[in-house]
Amino acid sequence: MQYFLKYLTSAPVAATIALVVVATVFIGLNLVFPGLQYGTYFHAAP
Amino acid sequence: MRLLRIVLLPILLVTICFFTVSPAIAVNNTLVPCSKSPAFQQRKAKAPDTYYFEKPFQTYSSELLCGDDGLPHLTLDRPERAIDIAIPFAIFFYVAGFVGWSGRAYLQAANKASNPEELEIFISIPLAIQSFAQGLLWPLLAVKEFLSGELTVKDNEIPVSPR
Repeated sequence: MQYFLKYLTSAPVAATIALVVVATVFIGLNLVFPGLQYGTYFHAAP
Repeated sequence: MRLLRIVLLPILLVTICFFTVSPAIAVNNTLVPCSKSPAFQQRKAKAPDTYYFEKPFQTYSSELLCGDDGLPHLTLDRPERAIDIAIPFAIFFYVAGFVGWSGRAYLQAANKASNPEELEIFISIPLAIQSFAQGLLWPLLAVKEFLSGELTVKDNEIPVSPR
């Protein structure tokens, strides 16, 4: 088990995990706020 | 070289300030709210009837300005909408700084440890968490290090190729 955890902290594996986490966050954002982009959420309707 | 910089920079700034012609700032009236743009309504009617088209079109129609082409456009000519650009830019800038500062803090901490090579190959989770915590405060730390001279190394420590 400790070798597996050590493997998970190796730089390429850790980078892949970080990438998957970031992608999941962005996919989730798109699901919760579809059309999120410049001008859509920070300003009242013109 | 330093003297040159000290003398030339103010001259350059003054030249730019006084001799550039600033464009007239006028509000662009060709953009209308998307809900009032016939071309946009046409596009909205033609769009597929799914969640990922319906919701964005609703938001665009209530929030954004559209041109003759019926597509949303960002305007840079009215200060009251500058926040639309300023906030996303600020978020981007902070996140980019966070990434850079955490990595720098991690490498600096690793270099001080007894096994720097191993810490670069196998990420030490406690050290990484410490570095992330420093990364969250990066704007403050950057100012502090800039003022104390830690942010950059001295000119004579920069290796240069023989000339």
